[in-house]
Amino acid sequence: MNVLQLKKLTKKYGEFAAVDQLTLAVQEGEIFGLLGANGAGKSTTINMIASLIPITKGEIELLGKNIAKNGKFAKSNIGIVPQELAIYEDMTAYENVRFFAGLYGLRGPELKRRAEEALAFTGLSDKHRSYPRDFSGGMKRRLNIACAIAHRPKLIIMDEPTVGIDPHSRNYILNSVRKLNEMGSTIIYTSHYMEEVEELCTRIAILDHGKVIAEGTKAQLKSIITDQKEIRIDVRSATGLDTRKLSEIAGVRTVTVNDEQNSVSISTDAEVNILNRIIQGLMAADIEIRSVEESQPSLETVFLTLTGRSLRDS
Amino acid sequence: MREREIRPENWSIIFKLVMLLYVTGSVYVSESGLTNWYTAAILLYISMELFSHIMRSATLQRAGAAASILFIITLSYELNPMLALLIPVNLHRLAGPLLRHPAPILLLMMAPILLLPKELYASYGLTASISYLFLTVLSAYTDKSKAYRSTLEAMREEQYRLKKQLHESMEHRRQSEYMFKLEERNRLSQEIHDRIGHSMTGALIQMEAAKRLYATDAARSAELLQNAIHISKEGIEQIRQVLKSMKPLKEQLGINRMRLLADEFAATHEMETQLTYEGNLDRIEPLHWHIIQQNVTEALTNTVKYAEATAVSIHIQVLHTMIKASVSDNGTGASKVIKGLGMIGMEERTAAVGGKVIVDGSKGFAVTMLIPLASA
Repeated sequence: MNVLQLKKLTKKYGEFAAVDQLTLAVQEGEIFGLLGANGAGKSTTINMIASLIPITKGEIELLGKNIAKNGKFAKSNIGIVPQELAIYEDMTAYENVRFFAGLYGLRGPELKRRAEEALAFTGLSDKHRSYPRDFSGGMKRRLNIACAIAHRPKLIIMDEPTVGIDPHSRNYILNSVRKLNEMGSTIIYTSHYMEEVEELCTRIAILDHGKVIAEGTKAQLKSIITDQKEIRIDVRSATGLDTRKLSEIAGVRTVTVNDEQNSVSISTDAEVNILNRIIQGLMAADIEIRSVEESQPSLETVFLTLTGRSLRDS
Repeated sequence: MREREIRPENWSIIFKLVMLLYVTGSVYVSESGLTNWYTAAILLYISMELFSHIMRSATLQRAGAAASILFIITLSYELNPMLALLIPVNLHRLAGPLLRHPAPILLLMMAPILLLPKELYASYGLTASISYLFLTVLSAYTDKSKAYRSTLEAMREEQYRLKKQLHESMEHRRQSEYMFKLEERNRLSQEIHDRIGHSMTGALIQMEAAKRLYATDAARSAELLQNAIHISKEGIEQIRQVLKSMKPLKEQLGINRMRLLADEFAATHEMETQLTYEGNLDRIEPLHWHIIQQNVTEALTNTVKYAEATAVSIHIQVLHTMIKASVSDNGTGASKVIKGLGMIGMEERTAAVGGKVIVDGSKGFAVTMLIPLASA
């Protein structure tokens, strides 16, 4: 089922289209990555989903309901972790979470319980009565997340939640994204860090100039560029290697032996994993392996190839 | 960006403010002067007014206006009769949208005069008339400008629709022209192909005759055979030549055509033009070539028109499941790209085969087409 569906969503400022007929569907249970350089339209899209800015044209459907006509429904089913910290420094951590969960529509004892749960979830239970002004950057980020998830939304949108924080907090956040997902929330995740998206997201859309230029699983996106991967094996001596044996392994396309550098380069189908069999083949031929290096296009390469720009230079 | 005009609603707020200042001024110079109670009452009044202006729903707004009137009436009895001068404005706000005719509104606004002390008759009458005039003109103006605005909006939509339609039909014409040419060429080559049959038949007859004469007149038979060979040779050669020139050559659509385009462009525009490609170009289908070519032509035209560039490069790259074709120049670029008809045309052509066009003006100007490959 589609949790979120954007239909020809457009945002214009004057004649300039910041988001240009964007069509996208996010299915239940996904961690959906939105990749794009600054100005690609990610935040504008998120702000429209959050009803923070008006839509110029198009529709947004949350669980099959148009959010323009079901404001309250949308509010109670979406949790937004904004890029800029949205917490009050002069309220305690607990008061912050209570306040935001209240805005999302929670009341009474349920509000209290859920706020405590959210703090526990983000590892801030012991900071219950502390003020965010004394927090580290990472703790502030975690509190920011707690504020957005206390009302247990079906859809959680995280806009660059790991910008400028220490590795410990970063790992904590990445793990909590996974946990939230396992607990049944669908997640939309944007980040500048390609590795994070690659590690975390089940499906990814690449945005550029307000349009989705490619969409799919990691494997699908990579296969846009190529359908093979290269394996380079450095050996002590490649003499006496029978390349035919290696070529016969299903999935191997070409085998090239470089005698001078004592290395074997093998290109294989991208989707198969036959490294074991290749190594077995080499061992059977009594060839001593020094190192193995497997290279496959990264998402960064995909992004660079399609847009002509690197994700971080704009 | 257009300058923001003051909305009619704000004008009525300004008017109310002026009235309030006038009343407060009069009270200030009168014997009673400004008491604490008076100040508190006025502040409360202002908050009530603001409340009713902030509310979106018309019912709540009206309720707010009604509450203001009741409040003002109470105040004018309890505190200072001068405050009654604020009644007409609120009455107009409450009743204006309900009573369409101006006369009853005026009567309604004048009515409270009967409840006032005699010495206020004149000022009340005056303020009521001024309020009436001002607000009536204002509401007439509001209605009119609303109507204009919606007409304008409708016309704009219509204009856009027509523009788009025109563009689509032009596009359609171009496409069908192209299709027609292709069909015509195919038909011709078919016909010529059929003629092979005729010349073959001619040769065959000669050979049949040669066969019959073979036993009786060997010399004549050899001559006929030689004829047949001659006809066949010539025929085949001719047909080969014609076929070659008639059939749409793959290269005519492909990279050679693109090279020609680039060369022509470089020659006519004194711009350094570079064409590069990578990947297996054979995977690009004729339709894709056609679209790429049209888009490249369009992009080059844009470069000439707007970019002030000295060099432009065309790059075609066949990836595994996509074709990427881009035209980029070293010109002035544009921080925010506004799409014209040409650009919309490119987008539509490309969308017809499931592709996308991205336009980037950050480093010079670059148009990139991404077209999915059918046989991936």
